[in-house]
Amino acid sequence: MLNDDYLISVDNVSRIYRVGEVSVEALRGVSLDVTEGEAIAIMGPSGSGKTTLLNLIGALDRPTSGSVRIDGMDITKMDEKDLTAVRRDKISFVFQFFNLLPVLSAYENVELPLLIGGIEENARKERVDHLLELVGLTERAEHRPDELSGGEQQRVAIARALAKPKGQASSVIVLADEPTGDLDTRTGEEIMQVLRELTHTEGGTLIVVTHDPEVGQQMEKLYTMRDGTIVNVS
Amino acid sequence: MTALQVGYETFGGSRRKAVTLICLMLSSSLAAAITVYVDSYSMHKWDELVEIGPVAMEIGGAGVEHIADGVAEIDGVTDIAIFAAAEGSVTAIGTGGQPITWSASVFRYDQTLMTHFGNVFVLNKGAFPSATDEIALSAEIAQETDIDIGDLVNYTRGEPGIGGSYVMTVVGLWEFSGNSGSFHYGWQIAMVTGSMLDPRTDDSYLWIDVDRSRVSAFNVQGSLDYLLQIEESIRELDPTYDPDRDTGSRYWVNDGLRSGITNYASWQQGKRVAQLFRAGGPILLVVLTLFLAVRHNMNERRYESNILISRGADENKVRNMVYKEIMILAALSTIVGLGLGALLSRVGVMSSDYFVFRWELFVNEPFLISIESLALSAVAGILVPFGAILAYDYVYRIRQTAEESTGKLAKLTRLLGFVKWDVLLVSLTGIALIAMLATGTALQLNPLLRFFSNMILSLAPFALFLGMASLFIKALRAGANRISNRMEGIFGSIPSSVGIRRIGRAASSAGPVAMVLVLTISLAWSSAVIGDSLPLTKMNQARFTFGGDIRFDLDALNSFADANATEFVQNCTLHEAYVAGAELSITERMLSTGYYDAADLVAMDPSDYLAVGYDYTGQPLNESPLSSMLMELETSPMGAIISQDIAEEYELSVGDSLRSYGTEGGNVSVFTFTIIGIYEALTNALLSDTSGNIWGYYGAGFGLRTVWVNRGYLSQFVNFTTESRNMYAMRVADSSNTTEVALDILEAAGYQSTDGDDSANNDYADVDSEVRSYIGTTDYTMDRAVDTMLTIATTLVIFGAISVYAAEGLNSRRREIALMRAMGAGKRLIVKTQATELLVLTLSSIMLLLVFAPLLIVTTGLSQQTSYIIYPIRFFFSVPYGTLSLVLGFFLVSVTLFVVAVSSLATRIQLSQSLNASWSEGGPMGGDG
Ligand SMILES: Nc1ncnc2c1ncn2[C@@H]1O[C@H](COP(=O)(O)OP(=O)(O)OP(=O)(O)O)[C@@H](O)[C@H]1O
Ligand SMILES: [Mg+2]
Repeated sequence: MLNDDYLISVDNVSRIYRVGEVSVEALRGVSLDVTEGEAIAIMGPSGSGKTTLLNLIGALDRPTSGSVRIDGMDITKMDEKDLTAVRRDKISFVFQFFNLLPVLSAYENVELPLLIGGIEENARKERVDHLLELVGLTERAEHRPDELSGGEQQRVAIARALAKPKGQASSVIVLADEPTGDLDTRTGEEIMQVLRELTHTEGGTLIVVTHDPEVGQQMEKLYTMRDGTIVNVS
Repeated sequence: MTALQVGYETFGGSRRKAVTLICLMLSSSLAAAITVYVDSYSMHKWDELVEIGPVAMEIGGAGVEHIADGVAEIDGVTDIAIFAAAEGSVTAIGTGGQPITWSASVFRYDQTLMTHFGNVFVLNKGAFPSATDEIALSAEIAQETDIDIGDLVNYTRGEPGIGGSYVMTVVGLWEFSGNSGSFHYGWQIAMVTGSMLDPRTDDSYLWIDVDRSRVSAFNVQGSLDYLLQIEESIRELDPTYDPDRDTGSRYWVNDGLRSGITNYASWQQGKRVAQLFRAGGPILLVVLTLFLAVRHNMNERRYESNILISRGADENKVRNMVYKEIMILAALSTIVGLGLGALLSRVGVMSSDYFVFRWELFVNEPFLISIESLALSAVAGILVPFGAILAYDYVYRIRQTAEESTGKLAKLTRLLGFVKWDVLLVSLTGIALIAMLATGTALQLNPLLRFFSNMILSLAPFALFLGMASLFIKALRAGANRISNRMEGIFGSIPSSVGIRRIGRAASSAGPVAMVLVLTISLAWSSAVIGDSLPLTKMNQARFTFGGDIRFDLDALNSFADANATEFVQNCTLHEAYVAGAELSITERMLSTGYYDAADLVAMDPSDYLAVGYDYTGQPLNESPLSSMLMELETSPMGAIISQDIAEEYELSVGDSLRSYGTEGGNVSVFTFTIIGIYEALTNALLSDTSGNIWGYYGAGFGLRTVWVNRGYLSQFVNFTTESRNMYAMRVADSSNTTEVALDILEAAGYQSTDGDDSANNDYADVDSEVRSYIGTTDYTMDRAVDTMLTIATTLVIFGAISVYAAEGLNSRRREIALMRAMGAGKRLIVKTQATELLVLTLSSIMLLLVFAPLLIVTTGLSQQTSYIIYPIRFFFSVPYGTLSLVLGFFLVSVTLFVVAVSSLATRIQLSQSLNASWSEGGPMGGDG
């Protein structure tokens, strides 16, 4: 089902973990396509392979077999150097445990991907200020993560996810693994909304792993996984 | 989350345990290294003090000969014989032809005694007496006379004049073998057959030997108990003996073996305490590291214990669980530490100077771990960690109560916080040190003050260090952000923001690590400098004291050898190593008529002596400020160079005249000089060693109350041969050994040196043997050996500290690396970030090092005791730059290795795993403390 129109194209991917003698088949022949600007959700019971799939798309891990294409390029065949470039230019993560750098302020955390991407100072400042405003944290720019609430930290993480060097052929892919899993319901809903809206306005593509059926319902597509395979698409 | 994290936690647990074990091992191995080293070294002393010959004990008391059978049955007694002695005197003709009488103890020659304890005596010549008119004399007596075998002597029984007198033939000359005479009180001068003893003063003693395999240096206390038990059993042979009722036994025991062991034990204890005391710095290091280790344990287990507490476990219970684990690890580490310490002690045993090894000693020297060492290491290995736990607990609780409560204690703590103990400590010790250094020699004059000032000198740096450490950590915490902003231009914005700020965040572990590094390097540097400086100090002081490389006492040589002074001096000039020589005649004169205020007038030929002597700084005279004064003394014969103290006391300055008074046969003579120079201190060339003694005259300061005058001028008034002490000072070629030259010259002059034991002879002194005998002293050797061991041990502490630091931040470091790579940071950027962190930490450590190390070196140097004589310069610093850079290099290499290790971590890291784990730091369970 190869199609170069898709931004992300996962084709018949398997991932087997070997721990000593035991091998765990976390993914068994998963295929999935995502077009640019789309917002999709992945659901499924614990251990069904959602995180594993996300890691493969995010170039954090390599599949045992099958291919993952991003912008038409097969990232499973890339060397480490090119992978670094893909991560730098196209991929952003939002984790369950916010994963901000504790030594940096909110501003600096958002700025970090732009620094890594080598964006020039003025453009950088403009973009960071803009993103902080979007997540409503302009006031908190100088605060460090341990001075922010969980919801605020996750907002910073969202702003950071959207802070990517622009002007590339395609926009950013935001991969969010249970981004609200560690927040209370209300804050979780808020965060989810911010994530969805912003990704949309910034022209990004969003893949969210969630346990919350309501969140799943709001997305354009919902994939359900079980035992390492996609069992349902709606 | 996933099953994986459980595995990860166990791995983390074992890493934590390994790190803790390393840190805990340090204290027991440090203690073991020192005590085992002292033990092993003391084996020589054991041999010397416990080898008392074949007789272990002597038993006396009325009728003691009747309990011989009883004594023989006592457990441990292996040999017994009766020994009889009485008073007597021997008269013989001395070497001068006059009769000499010795009155002392005379004892009976007895065949059974000889078969049991014959080894006590060594027959130098002839035989033991076998007839009533035969006598064997102590070789000691024979030496003072010319008595030989076959000569006749007069023997009187009992006290002189009371007993009968007999003419006896000398048949043998004997002496006690080795130390074996020491057990018996009194002095034995002769041996006669039984019937010749004085019956009125005749006394019997029992000599016994015991099973000596039951005494050992390993178990000193056990050995003493064993011997005491035997002594007690002997006393109990008197039926009236009852210590409870205070009735003594009629038998007394003179236990030579036990007193040997007691002497050994107190010698060993003294050395042990002295060396442990010297290890103050390293002990501080170990405590610091242990504190880090405990803290690390508490932090690592916080996540775990928070879960347990949230499930209802008692907080104290959780803490006790952590402590219990540490104590179990401590017990385990004691065993490993003991082994490591024992190995380290061998390094001490084979070092003859600071990092100078004689490898063969590693196996050849005796090895001993005594029970006390085992106990001490165990105590150090378990108690010290326990102390660290208590300290941690204390700090932790104080913090908590201060935060939570508003009571009295909180007020007090806040007050203490306000006072800023570290600022206080640094300023107070700083002031004390400066004051002490400024007072200089004044404190040195009083032995008690001297002791205390040395104590302060050796402890103050560490007090200062603790204060500085605390300030340093605060500075790191506060300064990291500022430094990071400054450094952006140099390192790039990511390395400086992420890398440098991490230091600030981890300041509570980065700080102590920096402190450990600084302290370790400072200690190693200081040991190296001291090891290099002590011989230099001795050399400079000896040169100054002796007034040249070699100094002969012409008067003493004249009376021993029949050489005349002129001939002897000529002999000296002929030696191939001769460079220059000068005669010095020293006369004691008064500087005022009123009271006793003598000064030494040293008469010299100034131009001669200019090429020979040294000043108090160890500089050759011709390169020192004294050279122009001496040149002037040459041309103005009435001139005098005086020591500073004289100038001060009499308010004299250059150009003034100096009068000196002397009384010879009732006539007062006055010599007048014109002062042409004043110098800090001048030698009088009278001393033949530089160690002095505690209450010696030169405790007031050597080189004072001395006047240098022109020989030509003074000879008009003084007959040097009869009224002065005459010395000949000599300069020899640089490459030559002064001792060899001196002995060569003496030999050529027909002088017999008494088997190289030159310290006892005052007739000559030379710089090399002075330095050599100083370096050869037990204390010097032990100090350097222990310094070597401590340097190695403290270097191990570096690894302990670094591993805590690495382990401490490992989780957050991994996450940080993974996160940056997930954002697309390249490996180079990541390595650069990690390296920047270490670089800044290293640089700030080095800055601290440059402040602290000189301080430690100076105070350690000044607290060295090289002599009881007070010299104007008590310590000459010599800096072995090679060694110092080696030490620094070693440290930099270890830091670099750490960076390399971290870099490889950056490449090996499993991104997906590192990012999805639940990090206690970022998670709800809170950050590090
Ligand atoms: N690094 C690994 N090594 C071995 N097995 C792994 C590893 N990572 C994941 N697994 C296993 O692969 C399977 C899928 O894991 P994955 O984390 O993708 O599930 P998930 O759907 O994200 O579950 P959850 O909802 O609990 O996060 C699980 O059985 C897990 O134990
Ligand atoms: Mg998951």
